[in-house]
Amino acid sequence: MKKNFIILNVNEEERELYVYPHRSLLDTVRDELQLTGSKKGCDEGDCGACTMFLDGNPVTSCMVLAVDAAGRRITTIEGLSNGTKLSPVQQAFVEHGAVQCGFCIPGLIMSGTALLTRNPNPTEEEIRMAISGNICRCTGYTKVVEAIQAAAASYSR
Amino acid sequence: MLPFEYFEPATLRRASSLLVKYGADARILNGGTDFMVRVRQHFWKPKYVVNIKKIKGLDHLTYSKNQGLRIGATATYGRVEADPVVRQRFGIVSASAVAVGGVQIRNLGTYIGNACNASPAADSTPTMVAMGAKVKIYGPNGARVIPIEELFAGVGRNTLQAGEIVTEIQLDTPPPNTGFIYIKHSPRSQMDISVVGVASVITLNPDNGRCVDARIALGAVGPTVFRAKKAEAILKGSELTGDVLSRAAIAAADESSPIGDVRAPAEYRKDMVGVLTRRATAYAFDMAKSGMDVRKQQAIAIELIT
Ligand SMILES: Cc1cc2nc3c(=O)[nH]c(=O)nc-3n(C[C@H](O)[C@H](O)[C@H](O)COP(=O)(O)OP(=O)(O)OC[C@H]3O[C@@H](n4cnc5c(N)ncnc54)[C@H](O)[C@@H]3O)c2cc1C
Ligand code: FES
Ligand code: FES
Repeated sequence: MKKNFIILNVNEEERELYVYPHRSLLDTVRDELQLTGSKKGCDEGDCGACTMFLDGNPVTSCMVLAVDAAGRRITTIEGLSNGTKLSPVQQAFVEHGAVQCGFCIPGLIMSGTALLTRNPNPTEEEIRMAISGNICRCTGYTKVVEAIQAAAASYSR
Repeated sequence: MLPFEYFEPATLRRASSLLVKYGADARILNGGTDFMVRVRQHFWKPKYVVNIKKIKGLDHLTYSKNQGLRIGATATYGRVEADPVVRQRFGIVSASAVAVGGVQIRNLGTYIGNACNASPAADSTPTMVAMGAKVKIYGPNGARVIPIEELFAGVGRNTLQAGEIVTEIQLDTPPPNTGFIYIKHSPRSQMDISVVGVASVITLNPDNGRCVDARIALGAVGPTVFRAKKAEAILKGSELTGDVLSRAAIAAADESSPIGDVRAPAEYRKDMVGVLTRRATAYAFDMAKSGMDVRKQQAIAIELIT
């Protein structure tokens, strides 16, 4: 079996690499590009810990082949902050104590960010819908929802 | 995941010839949300994978008065759900998308992938069946158009021949005085496989209030998604009194042949077919009777799903 040559556009940087066609985007980004912020909780599309943006839309990256993502705009959790300056959603998660073990958090922040980009003024129900593809076993979601609600202020401004 | 060779054909003709050449060793990759799970489980072991997403003109989403709605093979749920025209004229279609997975899955998965996968528990297909959707199929011997339910051959099996690719779903504009609903019943409201799914589409004669057309499609309670034709026959031509609705509900339950599994025993599913057919049909009837606009219908449908 031979590897395919692809160019991945990750966080606005073009990365050239050789990958086997059966490798997922998640594994490729974590193992080849060493961007380990996206987590692998299930590898079945269920937990949302691996959420990245493909052309601006949140997707579970374990459900995508790396070869299939070539040529598309990929954003990972590492792409949200500006150096050490956290994004509004990241900052709000810290300030509202929405992080416990942290494993699910990159995915939840990606889902929260995607929601607020589209809808800067969501209801609690809309927030819960937007994160329904993310599983957290620690927080009970309440503080996560509060954090996203708080971050909304800096989007609707 | 087992290794495979990967193709990104630029045309339907090339994709089809690859599928013919590699036969049972080849598999189409669309949104990949069933593909990735099945291939990782070694349930599917394709040696050749044909990604159809690079084929130009397969991601269309168009509406016209004459042709109705056309959903291209690679148009994702996310795109269809957000489309203003779909929301305005085919509210049930966007509502049925919301029944599938979570946001991330809907940004990858497609209606046509759901139909081709031929799972009896598919959540977007009952709506399509009840709406009378057709699918257009490209193949080595030209194109053909069939009712969507003729795609289903059995659990996880479709009727496509070697080299055939579904290119679009076609939906006529529903007549006025029509109400629609899809009810998904599952232990968790989101991100779970249906235990029972019922889509009901009711059209009334505005002059006498009688039901002129009724289509009921059931999911997760037989080897394929199917129409409850006996129930439909009871409704059609009748005044939809409580008694008529109850008789239709019993008929639908009789027509179902669910299996029991970890999610729910067979008897429970059968009972719920009756309960939910009655409920869905009552909703659709009320919507049709009140002349409720499509957006309002959609809001209620989403409320019932989530
Ligand atoms: C976490 C998770 C949650 C899910 N939740 C739900 C749910 O709630 N309800 C539900 O119904 N489903 C659910 N699914 C299943 C899946 O998302 C849907 O069935 C989806 O619609 C499949 O579409 P796809 O484009 O991703 O298909 P793919 O995985 O790309 O393909 C599915 C099958 O159809 C074939 N195929 C695809 N397109 C064509 C074509 N144009 N012509 C011929 N054959 C074709 C493929 O070869 C393959 O065999 C879930 C999946 C995951 C991973
Ligand atoms: S690792 Fe991708 S959804 Fe869980
Ligand atoms: S913080 Fe531990 S799983 Fe969410």
